[in-house]
Amino acid sequence: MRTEILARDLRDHRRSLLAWAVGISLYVALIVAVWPSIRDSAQLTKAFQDYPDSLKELFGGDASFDFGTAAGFLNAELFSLMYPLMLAFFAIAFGASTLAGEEERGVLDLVLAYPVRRSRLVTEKALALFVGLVGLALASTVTMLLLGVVVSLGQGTSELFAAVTGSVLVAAGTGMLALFVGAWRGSRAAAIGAAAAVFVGGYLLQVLAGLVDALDPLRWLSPMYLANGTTPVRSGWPPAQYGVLVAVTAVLLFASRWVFERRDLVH
Amino acid sequence: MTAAIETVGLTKSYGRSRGIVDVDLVVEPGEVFGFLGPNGAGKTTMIRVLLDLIRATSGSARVLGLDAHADAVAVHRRVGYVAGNPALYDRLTGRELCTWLGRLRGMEDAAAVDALAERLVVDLDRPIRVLSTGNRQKVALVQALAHRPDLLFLDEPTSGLDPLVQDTFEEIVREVVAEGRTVFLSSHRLDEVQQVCDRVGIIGDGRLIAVDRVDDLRNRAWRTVTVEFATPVDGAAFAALPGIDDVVVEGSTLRMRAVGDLDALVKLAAAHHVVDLVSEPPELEEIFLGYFDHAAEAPPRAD
Repeated sequence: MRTEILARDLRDHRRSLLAWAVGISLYVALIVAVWPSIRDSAQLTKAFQDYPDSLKELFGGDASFDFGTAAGFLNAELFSLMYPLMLAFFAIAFGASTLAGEEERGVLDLVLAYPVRRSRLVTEKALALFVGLVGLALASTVTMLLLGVVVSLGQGTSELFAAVTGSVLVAAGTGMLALFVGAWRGSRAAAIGAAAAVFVGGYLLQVLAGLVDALDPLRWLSPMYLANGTTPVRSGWPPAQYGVLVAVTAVLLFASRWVFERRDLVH
Repeated sequence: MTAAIETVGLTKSYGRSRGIVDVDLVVEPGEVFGFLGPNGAGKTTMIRVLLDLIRATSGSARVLGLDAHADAVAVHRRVGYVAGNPALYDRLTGRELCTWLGRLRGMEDAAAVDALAERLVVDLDRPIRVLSTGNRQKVALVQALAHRPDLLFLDEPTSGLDPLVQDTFEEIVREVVAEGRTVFLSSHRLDEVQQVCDRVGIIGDGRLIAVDRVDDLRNRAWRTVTVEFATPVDGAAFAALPGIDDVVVEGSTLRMRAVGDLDALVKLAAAHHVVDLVSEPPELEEIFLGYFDHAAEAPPRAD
């Protein structure tokens, strides 16, 4: 497989990738660093347990409010929202700019006058997105593990990997959605808007579904439920949920290739 | 021999009126073909369809004997393209861009890139974002020429180039065709087309109005000729000459429209004392009018 476009994309984004890696790792480090003081504060745990249900759902449900364990704490502070949100933020910006952004700037006119199949261009750009995400996840996970040893975090490694993977998958899916809308419409703004709406809408849907039993089956429409609804940082790998995220991302990739092969470049 | 470009009934419609309509065109290998028309006439649309950046609504386009759409990748292996006001990866230097594009083509030729940059006088070691419009144009020319394409598409190539570089550009274009390769360039400037092209297609409102040799182009266009004499002369004698029209006498100055060569006019004028003679080169619009007049008179085409 040829990888010139993949390499170009990662090089073009190297500064932004580095900034995101540092930013996310710092945030993660901060959270892990405050764990010992939370763990030792029974009062705080009790205070959280008295929160109204609706507020608890916003931060990942009951599971999050077991501050007696590292898993509950990490779920509330990282995996129920902030960690996947940061990764998705990066992924949506990357997915929208890498194809639609370059098209709007006119630079794809140059690249596609070269012997490059359009489907190959789309695939390499999607791979660049995935590689970038995995890079960010690796940097922040290594930070968590190292600092976790220092503060005696007591978090199971397999469950931690499961939760990080869920966040990477939901970010990859929303980033791929941004790339798809860009491939379809050629507009960076449309790509960012659609992907952000799905991420936020899905999050709110998950929260509502946690409060209203009738909405429970609709959870499967929420990317955030698929990523973290089973609290993987405590309960480990959920194959069905992650399988759906992987499948949707793959479908979006092939749909992107298909629509981009079949339309005029925006001038 | 296979035509460099061959289109039959090529049409690209947008929702709005812009586009190209029913273009039948054959460009032979080894010629410089100029696509002349005002801005918005469809020149860029034509090139973008031939490069498969946009898809024709109807009709067919073959480039170097291959289908412009179905065989796009094979076509692109053998063509070079400079867009009008080209967008490049601004953060790269010219050299980084050319190296990367060479790799994309699977044909890196650093020596050719350096030689072209030297001829066109452009610094490939500066980031593209700090370059002037003219220098960006040169970088775009370098990337398009480095792999010695069989067919070169140039969209308004010399806009932004200073006159000295334009000479070099013309020299390079002549070398390309001397090697049997083909150049297809679009322009809205008649002088540019006249200097480098062998044949010219005239496009207006998306329609190919005429295809002519450059030498014939001049002859078909009305020019405004002004002759200033020492003493007043009889305008009627000039109006009676073939190819002379709209004669206006203002004192001792005679103004007229002329088509074809000026031999008869000059010989008649020479019988008097001529103070000054100005033949204004035709504006593009006048050439269009000339062709439109002609098209109105011509019988419908047999094919």
